[in-house]
Amino acid sequence: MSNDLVVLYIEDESDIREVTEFALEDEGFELVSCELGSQAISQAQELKPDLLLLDVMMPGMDGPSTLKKLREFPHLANTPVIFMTAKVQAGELKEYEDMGAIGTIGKPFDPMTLADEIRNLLERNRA
Amino acid sequence: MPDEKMTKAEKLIALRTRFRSELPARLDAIELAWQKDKLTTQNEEFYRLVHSLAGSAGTFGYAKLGEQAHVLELLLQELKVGATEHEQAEPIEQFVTNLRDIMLLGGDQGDKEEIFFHEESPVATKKQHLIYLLEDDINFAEELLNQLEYFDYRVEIFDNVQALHDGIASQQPDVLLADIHLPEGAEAGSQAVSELRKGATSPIPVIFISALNSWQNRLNAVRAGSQAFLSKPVNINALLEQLDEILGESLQASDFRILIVDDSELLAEHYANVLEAAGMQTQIINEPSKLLDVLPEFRPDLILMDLYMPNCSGVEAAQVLRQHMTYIQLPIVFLSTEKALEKQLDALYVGGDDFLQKPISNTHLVKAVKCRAQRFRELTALMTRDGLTGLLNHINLKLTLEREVSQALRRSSSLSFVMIDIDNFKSVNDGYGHPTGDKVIKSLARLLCQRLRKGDIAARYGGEEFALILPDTEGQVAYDLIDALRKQFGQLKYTYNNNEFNVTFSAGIATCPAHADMNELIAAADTALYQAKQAGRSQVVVDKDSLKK
Repeated sequence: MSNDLVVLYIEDESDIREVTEFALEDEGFELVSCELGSQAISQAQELKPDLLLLDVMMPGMDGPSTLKKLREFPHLANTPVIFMTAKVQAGELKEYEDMGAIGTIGKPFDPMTLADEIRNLLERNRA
Repeated sequence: MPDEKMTKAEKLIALRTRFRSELPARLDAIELAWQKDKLTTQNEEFYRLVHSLAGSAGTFGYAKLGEQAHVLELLLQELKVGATEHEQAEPIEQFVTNLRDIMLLGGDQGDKEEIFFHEESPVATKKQHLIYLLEDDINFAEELLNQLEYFDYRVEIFDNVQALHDGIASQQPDVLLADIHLPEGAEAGSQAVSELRKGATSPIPVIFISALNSWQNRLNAVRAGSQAFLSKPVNINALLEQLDEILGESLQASDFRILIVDDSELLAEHYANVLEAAGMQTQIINEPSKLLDVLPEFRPDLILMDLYMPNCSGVEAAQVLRQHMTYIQLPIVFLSTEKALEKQLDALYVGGDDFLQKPISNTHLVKAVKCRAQRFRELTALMTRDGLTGLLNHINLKLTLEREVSQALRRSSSLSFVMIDIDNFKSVNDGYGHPTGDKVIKSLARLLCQRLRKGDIAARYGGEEFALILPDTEGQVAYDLIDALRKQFGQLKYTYNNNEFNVTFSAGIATCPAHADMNELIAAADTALYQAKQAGRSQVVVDKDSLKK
């Protein structure tokens, strides 16, 4: 068993999913990727991730609603969350923070620095 | 590790390549979704596709495409909320077409844009500029050298074309001043410059000097690629102005303040981000009724205004502004999807200055706003400034002083106000004639412009009187500054019929908040100036109350 951080990752775009997977592999992350919020919810029952990484806008259940559902699992009640979204208004970012997000990663992101960005957010959260 | 990074880079390239190959199909899908349902609430598909493109294009090396999709997404969000009535199908159709155009330009446009923004960033420190002077008349050359060195330029003289070539080979100057008529030939100067500029990737800016002020001579200068043409005897002020312009010291993007008026918060924020990335200052208001509150404080160089807003249209807002004398010259540029020429003309007729068509790319927006702000500022300068010296005129000095005093009081910082009067100016005029007197006045004005710090303001107060506003400056600091200026000015040599002479000035300084009322402040500085004159001239006196801490 490695020390990799387990990340439950939800993103509807397959090409973005792929680029994220490759950006985080070998960087100390183990990704469990889902295409839909509902998939993530069924996955989550038997998974204890260290981090939830969610796209905000998805067809069907969007990021924030998926998070609400995930939070209903006691073992996910306090898991750190990062949203990924195209930068919009400051108000919106605040909204995500209020939902318990430790940060937001703006889209488009740079695949070469994504791992560092996530590590920094986790670090800052711990501090 | 390096190997791993390599494979990562390779993998990224592979992903980018795939993204590129799928891009046309994605845009087809966007167009199709648009054609199918247009702007109906059912058209979630269109919105989703645009959103997805906005979020991914940048990651795969299509930064510009991503940006444009993002702006479209913001616009669609607005429409969803129902905030906008007029901006409907047409602009969106344009956006969709735009996306395809940008795609055809190819990826990695982002890099170019970054370089572009980098160039626009303000210069932090003022460096000494190097000027080469190609001139065979050594007396003339040395006189010019002396004068330019007062204004902190470094000058090297070359008396023939070959020497100039050698000089340039060892170090490139910032500007070349070249006499057209040289011993080598009547047009040797312009020919030499043409040669120099041929094939140069970044040719040296050139100013020509010639005793012969003819059309043909000027035309030759233009053809040789000159930035300016000055006839002998050279007016030093004109030369300095040209140098400022060429060296970009007169106007920098960082100085421009742009007020954005748009009911769409998202779009306004987007424009603000783009302009700020290019070094401009911005402020946003979403409601035109706030204009009159914001204007006195922010003092924009230009207003960028949406034409269609719910409570008050851009045209109406412009009309309201034009009712105020103070804002009659303030440039207003409408940002609109309006294509109909007639409607555009209507808007211009009631006081708009220009139109920018939405959607507009970042680069285009920056360039369009910057060049208009610059041009408008130049025009304003002509109206508010003294014709002889280019300094603020009397009326505008008072307006500026009023503003600066209230700002100083609000921030509880001290401000120094300086009155300067050239000593025995009447005898200069009487003895050497008015043109010489004008020359003295102009040279003092130039000296003030060059030596004052950023934020300091110089004005021509009257005949031979000048006034300076020095914000954030204590009386003692102002004294040191002005006394140094006084010494420097006293060293400038003037000639009249082969007679050399020097001129001096006296100055009086008073500060705020020691004198919190503007008129009191002016009176105190005036009294100090009078004391300086009484005490024998060529000195600086600080008002008593202004020195107390």
